[in-house]
Amino acid sequence: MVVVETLLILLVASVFIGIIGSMLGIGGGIFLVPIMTLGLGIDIKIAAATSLVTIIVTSSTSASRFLRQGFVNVKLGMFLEMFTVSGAIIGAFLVTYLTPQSIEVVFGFVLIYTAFYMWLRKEVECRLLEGDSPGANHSGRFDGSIHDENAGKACRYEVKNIPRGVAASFIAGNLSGLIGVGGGIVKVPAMNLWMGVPIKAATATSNFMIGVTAVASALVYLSNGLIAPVVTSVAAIGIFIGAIIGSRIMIKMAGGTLKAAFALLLVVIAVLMFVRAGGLM
Amino acid sequence: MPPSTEEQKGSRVENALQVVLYGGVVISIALFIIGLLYFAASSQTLVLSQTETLDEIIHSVASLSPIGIISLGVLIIIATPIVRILMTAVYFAKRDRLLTIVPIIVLSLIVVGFVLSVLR
Repeated sequence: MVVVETLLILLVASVFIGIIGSMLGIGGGIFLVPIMTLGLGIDIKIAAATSLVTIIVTSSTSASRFLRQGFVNVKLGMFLEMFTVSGAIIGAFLVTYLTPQSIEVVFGFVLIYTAFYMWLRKEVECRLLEGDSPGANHSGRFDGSIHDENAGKACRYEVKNIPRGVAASFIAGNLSGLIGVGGGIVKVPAMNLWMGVPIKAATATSNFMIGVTAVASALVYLSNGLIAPVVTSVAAIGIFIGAIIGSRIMIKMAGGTLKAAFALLLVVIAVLMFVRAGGLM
Repeated sequence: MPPSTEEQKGSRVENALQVVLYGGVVISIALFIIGLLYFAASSQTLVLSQTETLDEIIHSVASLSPIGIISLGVLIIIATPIVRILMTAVYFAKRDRLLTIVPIIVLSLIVVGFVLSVLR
């Protein structure tokens, strides 16, 4: 394939991945890496390094737009990223002792279960605080508020079940270190379903966090001389365009639609996990 | 109780973080475009798998070659979330003890992970 043609395909593919990543709060490495390796014949290590840099682009572009809208729960994001980063570092070391295939199969089933759970469960979007719900583990420090343009109203939400969120963040980081997937797709459902964070705030906060996890790994690739400047820059430009489009779509999207789109994404990723575990990718 | 106007527009820290994140990514993208156009205008052969070691990146950035300009963009984009972490630590220093310690721990973890991976 001609070099310029390859770069143009990479640019277009990156735009679409940027749209999905920005809308749903994920890095998009699970899509970008196979496109680069299987589709364009680029070395896996270069593809992985490129993917990490583009996650930072998605995160910075989307989070800046969502911060302006007041969608990001900064305090919660900062607190949870401590556990994601530590999980990612431990995961990167555990990878030597575990077989990624078995983790991918188990993770695939968990994703399908989560997808149906998300699909069926009613979105608790835009809820005014009316006293404490009995039995919930509340921590007012991380409570947030969000103005939903689509709903045309503002609301406050209380963040609950902090220990579960901490565990999910640690597992999310762990999985990303072990199999390169799992940051946003674990954190978004955990924040939404367990912690009571509206879906828009959950995806925006996930976008705010994923850049930091990616930096930890990107520095390693940078020091090992694995970053290809031309390929990385073309993918980054595509992701930047996609992230601007994706964040605009997400801001206007209804919470229920966003939740359904996320559930669909989980099923797609679960299928990709099974394919990868079967050695077909 | 509906959020106040200030909450809806975002607090000071949110505005500052937005500027840092968007500024970092826009500068990087501008450098990528300039570098790629400069590369296209030069007579250099394009090799997709061409990677650069840290020493080569430093030299190419110093010489302002097309690859150097692109590499500078890569360095800025990687530095952007690190600047964001530092900013939050400074912002919360006199406001919230937990949220001052958290970014410091995150930065320490990144440094430790980086050093361990290099030593391995």
